Amino acid sequence: MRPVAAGVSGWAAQQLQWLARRARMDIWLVFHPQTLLRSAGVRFGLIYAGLFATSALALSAFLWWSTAGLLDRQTETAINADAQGLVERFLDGPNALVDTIQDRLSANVDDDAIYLLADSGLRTVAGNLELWPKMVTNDVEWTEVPIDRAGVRGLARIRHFVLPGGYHLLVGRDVQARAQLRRILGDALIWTPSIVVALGVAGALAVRSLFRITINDVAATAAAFSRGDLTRRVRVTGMGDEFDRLAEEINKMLDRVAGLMDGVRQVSNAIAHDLRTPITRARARLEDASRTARTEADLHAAIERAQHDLDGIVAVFQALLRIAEIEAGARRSAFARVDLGPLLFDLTELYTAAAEENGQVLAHDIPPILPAFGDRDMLQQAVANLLDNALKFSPPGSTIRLDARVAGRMLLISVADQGPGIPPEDRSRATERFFRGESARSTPGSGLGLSLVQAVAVLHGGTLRLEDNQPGLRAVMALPALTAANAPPAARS
Amino acid sequence: MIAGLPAWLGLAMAARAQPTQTDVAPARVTSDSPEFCAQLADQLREEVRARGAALVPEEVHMLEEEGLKLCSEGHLRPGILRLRRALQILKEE
Repeated sequence: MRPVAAGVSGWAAQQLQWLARRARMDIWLVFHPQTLLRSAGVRFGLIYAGLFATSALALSAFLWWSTAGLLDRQTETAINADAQGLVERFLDGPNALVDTIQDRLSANVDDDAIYLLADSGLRTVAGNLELWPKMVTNDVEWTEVPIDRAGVRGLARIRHFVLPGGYHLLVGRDVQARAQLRRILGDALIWTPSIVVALGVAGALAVRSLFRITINDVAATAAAFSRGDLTRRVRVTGMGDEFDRLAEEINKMLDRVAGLMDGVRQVSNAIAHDLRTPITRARARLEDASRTARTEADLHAAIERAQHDLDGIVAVFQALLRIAEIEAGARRSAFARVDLGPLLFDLTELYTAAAEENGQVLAHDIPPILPAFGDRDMLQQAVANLLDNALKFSPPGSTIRLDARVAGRMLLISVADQGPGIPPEDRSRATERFFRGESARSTPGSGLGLSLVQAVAVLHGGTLRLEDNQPGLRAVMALPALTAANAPPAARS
Repeated sequence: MIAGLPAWLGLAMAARAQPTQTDVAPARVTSDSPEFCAQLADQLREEVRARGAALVPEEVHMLEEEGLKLCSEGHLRPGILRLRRALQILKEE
């Protein structure tokens, strides 16, 4: 047992070493600058941190300018104003200036004035500085000199004037309080970068996490969708922000794709189901004829019937292709101005004869002029489909109505019959390809007529509405009416 | 952010910089001395005598007393400040 145990522990140690190496490699790969910069989340985070730091720097600079800078400017203004009076006083002689300096020192309740009048040998004549500061030479105008105030070291801002007769005058202010303020502000500025970096990194991580959560959700949804899970959707937080808008748009797109996929599946199933019957029937007829036909005429008759069945199948495929073509919008470029009034009159004339043959009445109320913009053949086909359906499903003795009118900015064309109608629960599905309601099962047809009408209406920017005619069905096709305001250039010309 | 740091630190160091040279001996301010306190006290007494002690506001006497007391106790700047205020009141009278 011992060699086995030793072998297992060695294997475990090797695995642990391999895992440790792998972890080091992973960490290096994750934190490698190129890997980091490749992440949009990290880039957004860095942009956030940069903007935050820039704002903080600008704010600090403004704070400095509006506090310490302001005090500097105020001090210099006070010194200049003070000095101007003293220089003018010197015109009355050095003694007058000496008296003025004494008066000003006596009256200096702010306790910040510094004066020194010195002779040509820089010996003190008047003022409150014991000696001439060595750092103030002839070429110095503004300077800051250290001062000793009752044993406490301070700082004075001083301006130097050279007066006639070799006299020198220093006028200044004690700026120790300002120097302390500067030091406090400086300390704050030195600490600020650390705080800004910490807050910037925290904010950047938050921005990155937010970005990553949203993007990960979108990516996971897209991945699930591509794997076949058509029910997965991007999470909408309900905050109504840009991410929510993006999620809603993506979800709409996924709904549309899922709907189309569902449609394709339904159509495929419907094709397989609905076309199997005529194909099987044609095959059975041909097989039966091959076995039982005794004469050439019997064979011809069987082939003709099979041809008829196959023609029906070809017609169904043609209808499907036409619907697909209409839905793709390929014919939109052929749109032109169409007057639907005469077109609808022609259709009533055509279908009146067929209605009379069935013992039905086709009534109509159509204005003479109904301008629209679209494809004439398609619109004619759509109304003809509605009339076909109405005649097919209405009993003898009933009345079918074709009405057209303009309502606001829409043009309404309705075909109403007195047949069995479509139950409310089936109306929303009645325009699906191959859909056939219970009452239509025994009636010949492919279940594509209303799909084509709907496709035509949508292509023209309109809708198809199915309503209860009490009794019967009323199909209302609403199309945008052609007015001077909404006419496209092609229609105006 | 990294590019801005040097500018930031430069601003901070400039703000914090103490322009005084620590090796330079500070110039002594003589208006914080007992002599100046005595000089102001003399000036104040002369002003009070010239106006008549009874006509001088009580506040002046109080400030004079406080100022002299503070100067004698070594609190020169507060003492001098009170004497200056007393003189200012007399001048504004």
